[in-house]
Amino acid sequence: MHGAKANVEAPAANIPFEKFKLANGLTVILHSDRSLPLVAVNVWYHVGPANEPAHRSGFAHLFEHLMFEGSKHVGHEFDRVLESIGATNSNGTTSWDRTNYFETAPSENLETLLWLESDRMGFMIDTLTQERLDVQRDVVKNERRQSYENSPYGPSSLALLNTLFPEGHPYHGAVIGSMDDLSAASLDDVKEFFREYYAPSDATLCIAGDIDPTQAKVLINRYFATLSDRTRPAPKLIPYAPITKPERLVVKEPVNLAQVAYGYRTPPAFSPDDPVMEVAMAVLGGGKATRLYQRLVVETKLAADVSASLESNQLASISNLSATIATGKSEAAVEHELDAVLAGLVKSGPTPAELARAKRRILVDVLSNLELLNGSGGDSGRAGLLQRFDHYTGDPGYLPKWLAQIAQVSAADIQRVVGEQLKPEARVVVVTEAQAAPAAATGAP
Amino acid sequence: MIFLEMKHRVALSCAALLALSCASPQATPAPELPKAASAAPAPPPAPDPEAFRNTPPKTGAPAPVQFPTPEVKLLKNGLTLYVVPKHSEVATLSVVVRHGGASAPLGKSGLAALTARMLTEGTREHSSLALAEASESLGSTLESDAGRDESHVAIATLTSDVSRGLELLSEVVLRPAFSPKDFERVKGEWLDGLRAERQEPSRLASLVALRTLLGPAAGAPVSGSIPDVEKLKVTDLIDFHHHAYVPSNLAVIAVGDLTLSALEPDVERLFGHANGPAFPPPTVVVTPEKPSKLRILMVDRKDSVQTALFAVQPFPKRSEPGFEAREIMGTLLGGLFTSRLNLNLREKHAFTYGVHGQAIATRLWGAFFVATDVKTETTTDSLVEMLAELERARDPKRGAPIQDQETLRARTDLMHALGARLEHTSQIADSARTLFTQELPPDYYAKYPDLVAHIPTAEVALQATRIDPDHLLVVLVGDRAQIEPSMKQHGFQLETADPKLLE
Repeated sequence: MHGAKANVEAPAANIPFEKFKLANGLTVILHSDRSLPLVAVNVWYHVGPANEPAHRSGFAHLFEHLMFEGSKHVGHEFDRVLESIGATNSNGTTSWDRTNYFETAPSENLETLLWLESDRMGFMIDTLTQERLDVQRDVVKNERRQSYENSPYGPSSLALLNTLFPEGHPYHGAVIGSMDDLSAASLDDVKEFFREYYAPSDATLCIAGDIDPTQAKVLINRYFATLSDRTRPAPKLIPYAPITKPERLVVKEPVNLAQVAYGYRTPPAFSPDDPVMEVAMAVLGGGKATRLYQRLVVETKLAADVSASLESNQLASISNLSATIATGKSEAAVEHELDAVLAGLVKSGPTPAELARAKRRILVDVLSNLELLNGSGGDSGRAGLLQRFDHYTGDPGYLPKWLAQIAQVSAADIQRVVGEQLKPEARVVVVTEAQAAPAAATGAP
Repeated sequence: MIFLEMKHRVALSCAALLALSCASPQATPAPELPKAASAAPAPPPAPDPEAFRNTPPKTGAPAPVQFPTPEVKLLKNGLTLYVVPKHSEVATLSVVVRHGGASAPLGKSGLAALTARMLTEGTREHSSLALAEASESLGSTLESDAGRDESHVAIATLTSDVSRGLELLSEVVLRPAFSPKDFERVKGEWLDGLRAERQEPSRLASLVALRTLLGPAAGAPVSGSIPDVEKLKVTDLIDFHHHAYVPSNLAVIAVGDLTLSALEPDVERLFGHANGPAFPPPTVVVTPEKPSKLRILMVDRKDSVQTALFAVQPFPKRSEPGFEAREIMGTLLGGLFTSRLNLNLREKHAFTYGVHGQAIATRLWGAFFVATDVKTETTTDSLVEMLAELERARDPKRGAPIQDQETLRARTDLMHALGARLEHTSQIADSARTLFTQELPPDYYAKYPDLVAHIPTAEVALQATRIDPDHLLVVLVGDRAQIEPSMKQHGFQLETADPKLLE
């Protein structure tokens, strides 16, 4: 269609920054952009479920909740203070390799944000009580119920993750953890974890937005320089085996529509084949003009919905293909088509137009993301991306390099990497089947 | 699949839950306390070198970011153009029509939403696939959706591709194909989408509650009921498009590194020829009745580990005076992390991961609702606590009159959340859409901080007297066998929800 051909020239994407370390080991990244009077603070602790002790799955995330319970000088007032100073998008999130805490506020209130973040970095365990631990433990259990146990396809996704990362793998137990392990967590565990993983040298502070870097450094010194460093334990290198034979599970859930999901362990974040996987997933899904959507939803009408997602992590990335099975269609037929789409991609690769569209979508997505100082999960937006690049590559300014890697991905790369990574013998298949007569189900013929 | 675990509940977006246009918050100065010694570091007298941390740097919020007044131009054919300049590599372009779910006649729920969806499924010139390829080669997808009062299509493009983006929008909005073959396919997909939606306990609860409160026409979901959508014909969509998508109901919204003068020729060329007689949005106000007493409808979902709870009562519609005071009230009761309901049900009792309460309002009706998912065993206790919290907000004699401190926090949140929307072109476009849909003046958001700052606590408390826990409609989706005994002990009667309400 002529009118709608994209301009070939893409704007350069870059996030200017300055990076330095305090004497106590805290890494600092500053990005100044004074176009709006807003500042974002985003603190990453380089610890996640991958570092949890045995039988404490879910602990890193439970700990994240406790970081909002107050600290010695702030008291139990964290959220109240944030709401009083006009902070928005304030949250904490836990992913496999890291835990982050972030907020955006009027730039005049930068000092308050640093006061809050430094106090919980230095003095969080001073005020934590058994009672507050018990409350947040129950809140987290409710989060688990709401996000997984009582949520359509939630039990299936837990089953998929725990098969992909069996007992012994550092990612075993999913980020949310098991109910038993959550119940077992004690106040001593919390103190131990804080001592081991929440020292300044375990963290990176990023400040982005309307700042004068010189003034910001004065404040950073005031609030963070006196926090004492502690030694982090050496990483436990747990050997784990690659998946060499396919696993297949059937999970019964009270759903109206069955689903099939393929999960794979794929190359780690920012390894050479990671950008290839990124482009391959964008060829497969995420738009209407993608292979899975066209083949499964439009042409064969076997699926009501499809998705292709890649989550890149330190030890192993997770690639996930899934199809919600259209009413009256068979799971076998859906799997057959999924396999055919993958085989077709390996055999003939994407067309030049498909490849161009996939790359363009990734680029526009990144540029759109750069509008924000902090994205919703704290790993997007400018501060989030600086942190993410720094965490995985040591270089907060990795964005142009990453985009260049995306731009260089060829059709042959995709054929090779999809062939190597998304192969039937190395996948976990989870089929969600509808339980007989779900109580609240209606409308299914 | 989502692997992130968050600390704060992800707030229910009213758009997702009810398919409403969210009226968005904006900005004002809050009083500042004297600044503590931070600039001139005098050595602290205390022996503890960390004692300086005992004094907060300052409290209070400065003036929020000023939300701009869009540049507005009425084209000769009656179509409105809104332009909001913002420095950004990416622009958001959108076309909105002032007809949504509320315009669907009884028995044709889903009409507006399915029409919006079919716009992106092929035009007179291009097939569905060609359209998808065209938008994706710009790096974006054509997104379409409908709310109660509006429908829209949007696309994000690089600034250099804005003309092409507008061409695509004009083509899908003005010359959609509505091919019967594509319609049958999309309808099948849509019906499965409705079945999938009905797997969500919280969605079932809101579905049953709004239908019961508002009746079968106004209370039908914007996405449609399964029997209604099964009966929809492509000719219904063609008729709806023909009448509703006329210039007097349409606005083009552009946000990005753009100016009105630069954009106007393109918009005139692409949309200026559109015509059609006026077809104003519906005006018949929906006036739901409260139940004669607290009414609890139960949807049995055996073995549920949680109960989805949705409580609702009628409230004023969007244009009734006091809308912003009701926003403040909803925010302090159920919007903030430190809202009364969240501090009680989550932070004190740990019954839930989060609770949300809000006053919502469309052109034709309004409602106040509370929504949460609670551990099954705590369902009755949660209901009791929620009712008590609402009662305390309503009646200042119950020991918890609404305080200046909490209205200040709610106001600050509303104003600054609006200011923060300025970060992203798509969020600015959402706000501009609300201006057009709700017929608000272009400077409504520019003035919002001032408006909100001057609403006294007494006015917020007055709006709270509308809350009526004795005549609330509550819907529970959960394991009845586990819930009912303790409900009975508390004197609560459970009624079985008519299965038709779930369709």
